[in-house]
Amino acid sequence: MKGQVWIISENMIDILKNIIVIAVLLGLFLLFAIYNIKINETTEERKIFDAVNSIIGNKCLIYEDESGNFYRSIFDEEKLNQDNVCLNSNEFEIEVSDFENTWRLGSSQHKKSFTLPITIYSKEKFKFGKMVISY
Amino acid sequence: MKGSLLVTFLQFFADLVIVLLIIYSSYIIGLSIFRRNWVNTKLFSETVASIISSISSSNFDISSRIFVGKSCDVKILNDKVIVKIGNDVYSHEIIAPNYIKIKDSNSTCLDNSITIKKIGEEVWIE
Repeated sequence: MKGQVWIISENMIDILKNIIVIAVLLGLFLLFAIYNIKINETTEERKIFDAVNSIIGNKCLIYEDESGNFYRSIFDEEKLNQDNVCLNSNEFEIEVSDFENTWRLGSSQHKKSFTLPITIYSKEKFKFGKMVISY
Repeated sequence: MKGSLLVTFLQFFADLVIVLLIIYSSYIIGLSIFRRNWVNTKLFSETVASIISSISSSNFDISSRIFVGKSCDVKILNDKVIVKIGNDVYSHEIIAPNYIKIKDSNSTCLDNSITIKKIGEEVWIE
């Protein structure tokens, strides 16, 4: 058995070459395909961020002190109970939670969602909470 | 014979992938050459709409000036930002609180820039 050499047949070399070529070309094809998908996706993400911006500064939802100052991203429990989002788009669903109570406003298909930490003003106390916005 | 049949099949598949790749890359290249204005109008209108959305959600009076260069055919119509570059037009919805009045307005392109203004509950561009 000593001195035996295993030689790959020419057919096998051709097969391996073809497999490598196909793999490289498929990789390139997928690279182009993913690039194109990313261009289309940004519109939805941008709408979510715009909506988040509009909600955390929304006078119908955020806390107002006695001097008339509004506090961005601090939600008022009383205003949340009124179930009035004051947004010019009804494509979003907003879920605000202080981990004891949950408020759901609006409705959507839930294709994409975004979560951020917020504060809820409740009975003269500030509680930690989260907001989930779905589009 | 079995091996050569497999090689022929793989070569056919490789050719097919090459053809697909050529078609798809031509589409992407064509998009960037012939639809460049469309892509720019899309990006531009989305950016302006986002800035207006941010300004609308603020509780202060704001005047923000944005340098836009030569492409300054921008207007607000029915709560939408409409941008025109060349022959391409793209509109993007402005998401804002509904107590904010977004006034229909046109850019004046003073010094190649547009100004977004918010006074009270009204927002418009100049």
